[in-house]
Amino acid sequence: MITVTVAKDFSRHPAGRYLKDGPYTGELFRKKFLEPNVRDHDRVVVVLDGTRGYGSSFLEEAFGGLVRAGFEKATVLQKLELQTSKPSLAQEIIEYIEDAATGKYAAN
Amino acid sequence: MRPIELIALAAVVVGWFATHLFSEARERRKEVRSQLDKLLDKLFSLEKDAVEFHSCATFDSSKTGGLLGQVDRIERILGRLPIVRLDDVVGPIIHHRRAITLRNFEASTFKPQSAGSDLLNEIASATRDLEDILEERYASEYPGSFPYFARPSTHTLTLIAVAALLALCTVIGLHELGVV
Repeated sequence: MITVTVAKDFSRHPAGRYLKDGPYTGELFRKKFLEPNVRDHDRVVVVLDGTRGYGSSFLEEAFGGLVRAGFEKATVLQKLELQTSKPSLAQEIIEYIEDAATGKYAAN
Repeated sequence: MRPIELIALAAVVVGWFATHLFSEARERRKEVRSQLDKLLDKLFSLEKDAVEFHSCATFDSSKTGGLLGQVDRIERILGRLPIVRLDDVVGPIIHHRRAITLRNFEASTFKPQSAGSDLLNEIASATRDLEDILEERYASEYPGSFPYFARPSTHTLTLIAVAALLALCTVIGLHELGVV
């Protein structure tokens, strides 16, 4: 099991979707923390508290992007454990993982 | 002590308690209304800022952090509002965050939105949905008709229990003394 604390390991100001959108984007977080850890570990705990907030585009690209990058939806849902004091964040991330294959929330 | 005096004493105690109960409920209602009004002000201010951001001729990266902070603050304040359980408003909160920050929120995809665009309509609709659910919760917790509150608070229930216990002890004491 590995724990990733977004505020401590990545940034307190995560924002943006693609690498070109800024220094701490969803794509960067996925490539740097989610993809390698989901590939190499049975369980990945992601601690979401402590940042200045999340944009939906960041969440969609980071977590929904895992499925588009080739990870099985069921595997991602089984391995990820989301820790947050805000129930809406965990629910929104799960929706992005579940709907990633349909492209419902992907970039316009 | 004559029975009539006991009845008069009981009437005073019950009257005092009823006054206290309704006074507390009125104060609580005012306090929650004030908290709710402040939250609604922040919600409308965020709506205005979000519409300005998405309607701007060019992408303004300096405003994205502020908007994310405001969106996050709404949920944190909601968590402190006594009429709302965060678990019950997950859907409207996601809808609201998504309306403002899912699309058109990066330089790479930004397009100035004109009045009446789907995105601006979605922001207005998500804001109204949150406002409606909060007003609905307030109205159900503090109805506009007698007795003006839906259920007694834990504090009030404790007071009722203490008052009942004291009344019981008084009656037993008076009985032991041979007064009643």
